Amino acid sequence: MNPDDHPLPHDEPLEESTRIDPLPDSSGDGPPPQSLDETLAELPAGDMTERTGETTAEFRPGWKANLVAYLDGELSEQDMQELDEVLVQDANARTSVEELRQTWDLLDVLPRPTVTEEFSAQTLATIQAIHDEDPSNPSPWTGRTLVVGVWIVLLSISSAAGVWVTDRWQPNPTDHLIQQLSVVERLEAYRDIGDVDFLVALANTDRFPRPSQPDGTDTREPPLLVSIPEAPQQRWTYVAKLPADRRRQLKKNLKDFDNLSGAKRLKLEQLDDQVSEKENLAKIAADFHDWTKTLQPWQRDELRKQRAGASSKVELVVKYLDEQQKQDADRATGWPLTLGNRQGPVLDSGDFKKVIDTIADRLPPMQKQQLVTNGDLEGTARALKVVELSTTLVRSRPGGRPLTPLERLRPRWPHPELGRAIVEAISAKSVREWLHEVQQEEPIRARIATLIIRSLSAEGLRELRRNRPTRGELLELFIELPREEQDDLMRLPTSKYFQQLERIHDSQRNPQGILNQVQRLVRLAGRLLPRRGRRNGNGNGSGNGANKRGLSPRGQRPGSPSSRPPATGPPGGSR
Amino acid sequence: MISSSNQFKFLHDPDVQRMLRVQDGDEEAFGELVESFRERLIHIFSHLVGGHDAAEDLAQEVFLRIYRARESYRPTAKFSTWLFRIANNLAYNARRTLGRRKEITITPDDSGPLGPRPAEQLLADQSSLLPSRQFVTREMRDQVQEAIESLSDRQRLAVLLHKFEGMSYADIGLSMDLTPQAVKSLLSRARENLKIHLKKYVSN
Repeated sequence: MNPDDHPLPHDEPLEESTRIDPLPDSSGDGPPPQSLDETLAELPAGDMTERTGETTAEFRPGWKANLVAYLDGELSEQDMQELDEVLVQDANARTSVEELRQTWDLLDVLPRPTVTEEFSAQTLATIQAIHDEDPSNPSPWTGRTLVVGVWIVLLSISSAAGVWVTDRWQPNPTDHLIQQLSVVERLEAYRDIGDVDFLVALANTDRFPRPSQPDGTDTREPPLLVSIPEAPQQRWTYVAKLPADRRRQLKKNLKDFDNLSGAKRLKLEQLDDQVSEKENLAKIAADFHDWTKTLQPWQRDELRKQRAGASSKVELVVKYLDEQQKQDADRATGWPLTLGNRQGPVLDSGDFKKVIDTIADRLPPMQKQQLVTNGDLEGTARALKVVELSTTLVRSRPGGRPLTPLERLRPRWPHPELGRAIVEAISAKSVREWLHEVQQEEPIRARIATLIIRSLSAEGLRELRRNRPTRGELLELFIELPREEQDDLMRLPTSKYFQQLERIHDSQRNPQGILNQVQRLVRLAGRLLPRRGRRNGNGNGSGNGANKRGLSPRGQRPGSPSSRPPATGPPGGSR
Repeated sequence: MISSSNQFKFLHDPDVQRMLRVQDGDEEAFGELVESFRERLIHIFSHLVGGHDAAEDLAQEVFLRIYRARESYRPTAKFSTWLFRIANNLAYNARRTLGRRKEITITPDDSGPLGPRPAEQLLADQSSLLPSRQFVTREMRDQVQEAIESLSDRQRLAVLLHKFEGMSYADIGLSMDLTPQAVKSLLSRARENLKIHLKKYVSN
C-alpha cells in the first residue's frame, strides 16, 4: 500500500460498506453511526492536517497511523516489515513508538473497582424473579407500550424477512450444519454402509452386531448409538459440548457431505432416518463401522467401491469376517491365556483378588515385610509380586527333607495347606469342580498353579481394559512419541494402531503391571507349570500344540511368548 | 459481516459454552458468567458513565438483558464480544439520558471533607513507601483519569476494551459495530490524544 495514496482513515464514521452486521440480539438501541462532522469535531486540532493528507512532521500519515497497530501487533506482516524499516532508519519514529508505549503503560495506574458480594446476589435474585414470573399474568399494556410493541413486531417481521432473503442468497453454513447434524455426525459410518438396502441385507445375515467386543478399538461412544437431539437449540448445545477435534471433524464431514451428489446425499439421509428410528439397525450399523476399522485399508476400499448391489457387498463382508475369525482362532492359542499350552478356566476379578489376598496372608513375616516395602504396588503388579514371594519360599519338602536340585528349580507349589486355602477362597463352582478333576499325571497342585498363572494373564487384560485411555489421551501420547515411533505406528492398520498406542500408554502408566512384566510371568510359569510329555532330547518340536513333546534346548517351547518379540497388543484370541 | 465459516470456532469459548448451558436452564452457569464478568463490566462502566453505583446498575442491566435473551442466543461471536456490545449500547443510552448533567462522583482516593477513607488509605500506604511517591502516584492517577475522560466516548471504550479486556481490533469492532480498520484508526487517535495529555509523565 502506498501511504501517500491514502489519507489517514476516518475513525468514527462508517460508510454502509464498512459496517458490520450486528450481533444477535444485542438490544435494539445503542449508538447510531457517527457523522463525519461529529468525528472531525472531536479530533484534536493537530489531526486536521492529517485528514488532508499533508505530512505533519517526520512521518507520512500512513506510517503514523500504523504506529499504534504496530505496538498492538495488529499489522499485517508486510506493514510490520515496512514499519520496522522506518524505525531502523528514523530515530524520531522510535521515540514516538516509545512514547506511545509508555503512555499505554500509564493506564495501569487507573483504579480497579471493588465489587461487593451483594452485586452478584442481587443480580442472581433479580434473575430468579424473572425466571419465576408467571407468564399467564402479563401486565396490562398501556397505549404507549402497545405502540412500541406494534413497532417491535413490524421491525421483527421486516428483520426476519431480511434474514430470510439473505439466507436464500447466502445460506449460513452453521445453520446448515445444525440442520444436517444427524447425518453429518455419522457420515463416516454412513459412507461405509452406503444405503439402507445394504444395512437391511447385513441385518439378515445375523453376523452383526458381533457377540461381544471387549477389545473394541474405539473408546468413545459411537455416534450411531448417541441420540442426536431434534431441536436446533439442543443441537447447538450438543455441538458445543463436543471436544475440539470432534467439532473439526464435523466441519470436515459437512464439507464432504455437501460435495456428494444429490442422489448420494438423499440415500444417506434415508439411511439416517432408518438408523435414527430403529435401534437394532443403529446397533448393527455401529458395530459394522467398528468392524471396518479392523480391516486392512485395501479391504475397506474394496467394500466402499462395491457397487454390484447390496447382496454382493454383504457377501464380501461375510468373506472378510470369516477370514478374520479364522485368523483370530489361530491366534487364540497364543499368549497369554494359554501360557504353557494349558487349557482351563480363569478366575474372575473377585475370586482373583480373594486368592491373591489368601496367598499374601500366608506369607512368612520376612516376605510380608518385603511386600510392605513394595506397598505402592496395586492390581496385577501386586499380585505378581505376591505369587513370586510365595513361590520363592519353598526350601524343603514336607517332613524337612531337603529339595533336590531339580525341585529347587521347579518348586512344588502351593504346599497342601496353602492349596486348600486357595481352593476355599474360590467361589466359582465351575472352577472348584475343575480343580478337583484330579488326574494321575496332573495333581491338584499343578492345576492351582495353572489357574493362578492364567488368571494373572486374564486379570492383566481386564486391568488394561479398565484403565483404557480416552482418544484424547492417546492423541496426546502420540504427539509426545519420538518421530520414529510415530512413523511405525502410522504404518499399522487402524485397529492395531490404537491397540499399540494403548499398550504404550499402559506401559507408561502401569509399568509394573502384568502385561509389562512378561518375562517375570514367563519365568514364574516356567518354574510352576508341570511340563507335559517327555523331553525328546533334540528340542525340535513345533511346540504349539497341547500335547507336543518338543522343547527347545533352553526348555522353552518354540512359539512361546519368551521366544517372540514383545507383544504389540492384547491377542486377537482374547475376545 | 461475521464470516459464517468462522462461527463454528466460537464454540471453543468457555463463556459461550456457559451461555449455552444457561440456555439449557443451568442457573449455575449464569452465576459463573456473573462472577466472571461483573468486575470487568463495572470497571468499563465506571469509566464510561462515571460513578460506581451507576456502573453497578448498568452492569446488572447487562446481565438481565443477557438472561432475557438466553432463548434466542446463538453463538455467532465470542461471548465477551456480545456482552460488551450490549454494554456499549447501554452506556450510550445512559449517557444520552444523563445529557450533559455531570454526575459528581466520589472516587476512593478523593480527598473530601473527611479525607481518604481509612481502609483505602491503609492500602495506599502499603503499596507505596514514601509520601512523596504516594503523592506522585495519586497525582499521576488523576491525570491519567483526566486523560481518559478527555477521549470521546468511542475512543474511551475502544481503549478500555483493548487495554483491560485484551480484545483484538476485530473483536472490538464486533462489539462497537465498526470494521477492524476503523478500530485501528480510533485507537491510533485515542492514543495520540493520551500521549498529548500525559506528555509530562513520558520520558524521551
